[in-house]
Amino acid sequence: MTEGKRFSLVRPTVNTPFHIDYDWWRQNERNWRVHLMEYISDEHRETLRKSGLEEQFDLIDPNTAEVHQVDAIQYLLLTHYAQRDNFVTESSSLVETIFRLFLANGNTPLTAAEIGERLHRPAETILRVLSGARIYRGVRPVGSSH
Amino acid sequence: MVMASVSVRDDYWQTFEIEQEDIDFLYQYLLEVETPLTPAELTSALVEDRIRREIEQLDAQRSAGGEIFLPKETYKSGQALIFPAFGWQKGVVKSIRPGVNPDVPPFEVITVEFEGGETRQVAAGIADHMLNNPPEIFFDADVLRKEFVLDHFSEGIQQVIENSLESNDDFVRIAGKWFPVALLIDVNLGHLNLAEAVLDMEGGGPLSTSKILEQVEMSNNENTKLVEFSFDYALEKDPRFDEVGPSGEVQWFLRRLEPEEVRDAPIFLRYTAKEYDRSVLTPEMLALERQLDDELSLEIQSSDQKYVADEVEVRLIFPHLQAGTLPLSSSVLPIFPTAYEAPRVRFMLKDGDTGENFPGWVVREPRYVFGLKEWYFERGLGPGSLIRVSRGSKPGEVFVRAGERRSSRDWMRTALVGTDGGIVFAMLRQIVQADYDERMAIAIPDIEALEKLWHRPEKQQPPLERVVVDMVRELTKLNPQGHVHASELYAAVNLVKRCPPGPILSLLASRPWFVHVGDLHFRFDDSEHS
Repeated sequence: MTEGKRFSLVRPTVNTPFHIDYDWWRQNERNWRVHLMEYISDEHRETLRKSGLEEQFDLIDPNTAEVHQVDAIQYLLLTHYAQRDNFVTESSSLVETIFRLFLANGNTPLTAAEIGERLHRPAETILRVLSGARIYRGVRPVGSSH
Repeated sequence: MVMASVSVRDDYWQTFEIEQEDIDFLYQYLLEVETPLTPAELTSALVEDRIRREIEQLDAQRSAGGEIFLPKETYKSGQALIFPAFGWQKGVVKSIRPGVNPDVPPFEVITVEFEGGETRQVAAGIADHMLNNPPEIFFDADVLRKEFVLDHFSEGIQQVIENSLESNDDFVRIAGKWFPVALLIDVNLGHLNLAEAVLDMEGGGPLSTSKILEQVEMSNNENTKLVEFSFDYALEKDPRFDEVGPSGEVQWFLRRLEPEEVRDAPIFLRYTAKEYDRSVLTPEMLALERQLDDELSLEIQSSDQKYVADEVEVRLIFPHLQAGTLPLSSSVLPIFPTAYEAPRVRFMLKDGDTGENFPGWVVREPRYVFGLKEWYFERGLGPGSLIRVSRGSKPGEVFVRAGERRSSRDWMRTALVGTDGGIVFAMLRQIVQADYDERMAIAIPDIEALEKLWHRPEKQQPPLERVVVDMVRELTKLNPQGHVHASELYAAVNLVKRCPPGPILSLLASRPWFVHVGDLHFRFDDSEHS
């Protein structure tokens, strides 16, 4: 059995920033790419398989000009699918909606209060979902793995 | 418009310390305005200057050591840059590669190593990015706003400035205002002699500096404030003159014409504090000590100073009656005018019933107000009389009122002085003209005989414990229960010796021959004492 990460003992609050922890996906033997493939169309999937999945793209932060490198699937998802108006809201599950929100904003950290405001849900509800014993889709407090 | 916020530490003003640059600024500022300034005025000027200097420094720090990064520019390896979007961190370009993004026109990605060792990749050569507009510097912190700083930290900063200027020989302070010594106008001995003559003609004073200057020809300097300040400084240095004005007002008096009781504490008010055990005082005793509100009870003065009443009732004791003074206890003190430095303040008292004015003196140490002897006599007051002291509507105006009472003959504790100087008490009918505290009231038919006891040589003065024992013995004879209340004893002891309640109560609590029978009443046990 794989030894899990050490989690912070400090209980998150509505002002604790969360993000998608890609390390969590790696350590929990989940294939990030397979999961993300579920979000894109068959046509795009085929194109990606042909062009190769390892190619890296540069995303430019609109506020700081910092460059984040993402792979082809993430690039397609972030620049195409996540920009669709109903990408975040078309999910029926709150966990999935939060996950999509992070995909759409380029994984910029958000607090439960900020997520609640964007999704029109109480911040305490968001916090209860994100700070439970189970980690959904790798959404965890920023820096909690250290 | 991009806004980039910069600031100083949040605790900048709480940890404020004077630097040489501040002293230089204050000196220069006073030279420029040529007017003596209060600590509050100096604080305002210094805070403004400090904020200006800090902003300049922050500005310089930001732009020092590199060019400000703009995404539209292209950069070379090794070039030093400053990044406003990353908290104005400085970094050096380590490598450059072409950017990969089919949705954006061709650009470069530079890898930057920041001062802390962290590396980031940043886009360069992109025409369309919000950071291409130079950031507007935004000094948004409250600690860089003068109004906020003065509202929240003025008192602490003033104290730091005053402490610093006090230890600096280049500055002088008169009546709470500061000025550089070097700028003072020369005042010669002739001017001072004339000032003495002017005050002499006025019965000693008090006169304001401007009134004195009207008759003393000084230089034709147009800056009258500076002339007055220089003259004040010269008068202060001359022991013939005494500054007696209340806070913010300079009034001069000839020291030799001040009442003797103002220059030196009257014999009735002299007290040499001796150590005693306060730990034995019960909560009831401490409460009584606060209630008696003696100006010499220094242990309770500081803790009670937060409450400031508009009117205070004073129970007169014999020493103050004889000296014609009021105690300047913690509750009475805020009602009277005070001063920044002057140890004596002359002001006008007003009879609250007749409206008659008469001069009074606040003697800040050893804490009394002089000038009521005639008023006490005219009102027929005695030990235990109640006096109400209140502040008037005008600054520095103080009213005194004796509790009204129709003249009557009451049974009163009466102190009789024997030929050997011993005191005995008897209950006798006395004419009473004013309201009094029944426990502390004592009639004295022969005040002169009592006064003589105070003028005995030091060696013939009995020690406090002896006085307390004698007084308890005598007072307990006055009632069938054979006990005495602590406040009765305090008033009686002060017939022959000035003493605050603390040491008396400590003896009552610690000596086995004083037996507490409840409610601060004590009985004397002769068998224990022998």
